[in-house]
Amino acid sequence: MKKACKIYDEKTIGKFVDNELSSEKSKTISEHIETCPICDSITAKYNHLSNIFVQSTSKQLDKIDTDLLGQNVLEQIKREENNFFKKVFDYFSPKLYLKIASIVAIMIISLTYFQERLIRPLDIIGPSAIVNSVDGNVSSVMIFETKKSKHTIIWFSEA
Amino acid sequence: MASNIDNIEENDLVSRLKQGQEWAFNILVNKYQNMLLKIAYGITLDREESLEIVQDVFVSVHKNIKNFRQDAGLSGWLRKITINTCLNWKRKWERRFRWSHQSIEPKDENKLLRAKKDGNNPETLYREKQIELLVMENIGKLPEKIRVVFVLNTLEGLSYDEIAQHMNIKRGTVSSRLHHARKILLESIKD
Amino acid sequence: MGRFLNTIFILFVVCWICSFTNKAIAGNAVKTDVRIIHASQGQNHIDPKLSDLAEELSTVFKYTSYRLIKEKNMGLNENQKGVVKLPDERSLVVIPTRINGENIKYQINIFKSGNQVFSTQILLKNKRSITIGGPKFKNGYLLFNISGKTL
Ligand SMILES: [Zn+2]
Repeated sequence: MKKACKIYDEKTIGKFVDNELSSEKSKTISEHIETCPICDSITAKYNHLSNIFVQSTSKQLDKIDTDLLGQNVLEQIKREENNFFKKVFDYFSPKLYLKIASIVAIMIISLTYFQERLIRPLDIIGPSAIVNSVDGNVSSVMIFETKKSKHTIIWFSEA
Repeated sequence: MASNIDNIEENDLVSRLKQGQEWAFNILVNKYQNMLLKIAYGITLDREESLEIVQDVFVSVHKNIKNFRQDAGLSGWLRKITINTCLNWKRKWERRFRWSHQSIEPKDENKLLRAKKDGNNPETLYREKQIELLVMENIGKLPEKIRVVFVLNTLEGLSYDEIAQHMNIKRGTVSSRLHHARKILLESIKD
Repeated sequence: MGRFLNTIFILFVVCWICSFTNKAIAGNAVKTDVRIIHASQGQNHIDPKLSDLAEELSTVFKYTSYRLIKEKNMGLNENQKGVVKLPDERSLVVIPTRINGENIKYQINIFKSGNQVFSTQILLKNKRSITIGGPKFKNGYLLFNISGKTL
């Protein structure tokens, strides 16, 4: 059985190791430790424990390849931003979607004709192209545009 | 004075991040990835997972940077998000019954045997490796509330007050949890 | 649905006639440039000739490499066929079906081994471009960037 120190409990030694005591008390304890083998051993064990954890962790961290971390993060962000479109379009089956797309496109065209007569400048920030219809042996089609210059993109997956 | 300069840089970085500048985001990632990985690894004890977690943290930072209050301190904020992500991550695994099956680096056990064969002072080396393994294994078994405190104290070197603030607990609780952690861990390597 | 589409079609024709009466025909030839691009997640590489487009595309795609495989510049009259041969026995056919100062209406078809696999009708803003992508090619995808400019 290990004996416990009669003056300081382990919790206090813990605070001492963590530098959480007043400088006065800290000084008293460090003097005590020089003469008390029990507290000395506890201090050593606590420090040893910390060292093991710090070193073992740093060894593992060295094995982590962080080269692609930043790139992966940016890709994930972009993917999540695109997912919005994907979710919307995946919701429709391809055929139904194509019909809806054509109708929407035609509506947009009708609108642009009105626009041309009313407010011309709106054209500048409009999409680069309007998709009237899409057809083919495809399993899915997405139509989207880039944020900045509204460059229109059609993406299809071959069936 | 140095911290002042750091602050200015941090403020500048944050405002660039808020403007959505991509390269500012790269700087952020480079600057903080190691710190966050350390926390994530300390809590999960899994390399792959901690990498995924940190990646997730940066993604949510990107989403939420607009809501970040400049006065809160960037590293503290990042640390908080990381801790939360880790804890939620663990819950995610627990639901899939994966966490409980996870053992600490089984590959290291082979190394351990090798170390025994060709180490300089085989007995000591073996014993040290074994202690390390035991400690890490038992850190993994610590209740998460206690583990997080131990990680922030030991790996991050945060003061009791800082830990208390991060975890929304009292200073006394920090001290008790640390004591508890140390007691359990020392118990586990007692011969 | 068929009847509904018919109605829409009639509506479209009406719109078309409206636009026709409203506008003078600006030109009847169009400079059509087609760029065939290979996009992949391979080593970071952006063809200098694609820098403008790649920057735009990289905001929506996760690809890290954009290589220009082929570029073809064509002067096409209304309803004249422009054909671009693609890898893997594919070909791209572009026909400007209507040209005015503002927009160019294109019929775009993609064929594989002689069979049509994709077709679309678009209304492209003059001096701008559209990107169509999808066919798998060499660990990545083929993208077709088509730009049109009235002469
Ligand atoms: Zn003592």
